Amino acid sequence: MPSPTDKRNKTAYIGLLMAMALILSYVENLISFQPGIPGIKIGLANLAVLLCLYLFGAKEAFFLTLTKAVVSGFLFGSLFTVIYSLAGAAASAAAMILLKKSNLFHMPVVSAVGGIMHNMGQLLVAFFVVETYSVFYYLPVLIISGLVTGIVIGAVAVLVLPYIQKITRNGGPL
Amino acid sequence: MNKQKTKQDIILFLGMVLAAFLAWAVFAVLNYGNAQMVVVIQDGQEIARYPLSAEETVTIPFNENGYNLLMISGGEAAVSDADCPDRLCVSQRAITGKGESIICLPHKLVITIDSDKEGELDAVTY
Repeated sequence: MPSPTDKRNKTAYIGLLMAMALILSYVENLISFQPGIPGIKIGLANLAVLLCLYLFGAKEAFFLTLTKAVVSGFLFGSLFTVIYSLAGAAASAAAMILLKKSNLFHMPVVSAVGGIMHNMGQLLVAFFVVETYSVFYYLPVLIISGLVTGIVIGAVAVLVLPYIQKITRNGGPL
Repeated sequence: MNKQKTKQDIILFLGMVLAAFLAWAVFAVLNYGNAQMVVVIQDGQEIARYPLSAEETVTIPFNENGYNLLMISGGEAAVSDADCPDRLCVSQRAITGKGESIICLPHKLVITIDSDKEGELDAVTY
């Protein structure tokens, strides 16, 4: 049973993960990686969501990713960005939560599917905005790019997770 | 590392690569033909069509003040200027082949290359 202290600690850790997600979004914005195809990004902030999912669980990760989408959208983008980010974040988080629950796959693959679903969610919004099927021309590229960036982020998470777990178990600073 | 899981990882990974390939193949098949028209679609409506072989610069208006400047030159189409907030359409590379497109989301604009046969793709998918 979680004690009141555990609960408070958890809130603090999720706040820290949130800060981490926002800083990673900011860093990603600074890098401004523009390969000439709309929708491709590294998805650094997914690292925070992935860690949250494995440290605390589905509900917490879902909350984190939606809040992150809204806040970073307003901080670094526009209302447009918020809508796209929300669609991507919801799709990505839902997919990762299901895959993690199934307990069939390792973290990098869970993360890769999350990356792909992020792109799919955004592509769907783009489709509804422009109402033209030609946006799906980018589907293959977006699947592959989501796969690659997702696996890389997932691999980083695998390396980082044990250290953070050690800290959260002892209730120390992140 | 759990061996069983690794096996499942690989299966899912290959599945996703296959999905990407299938998506690409479907598009390649749908777009098979002599695609040589630059099609301008705004808000889901086709508003103009230009031959890709033309040398042309067109201003595409958006509402009262907005615009995207479409440049067709040397068998390539690109957006050379625009006043949309993110200007992602300007940074997208020029399009040359069937099915490729430049998308400006703030202006709800899609510039794509289609075959001469009018709206072939739309007929298949709508």
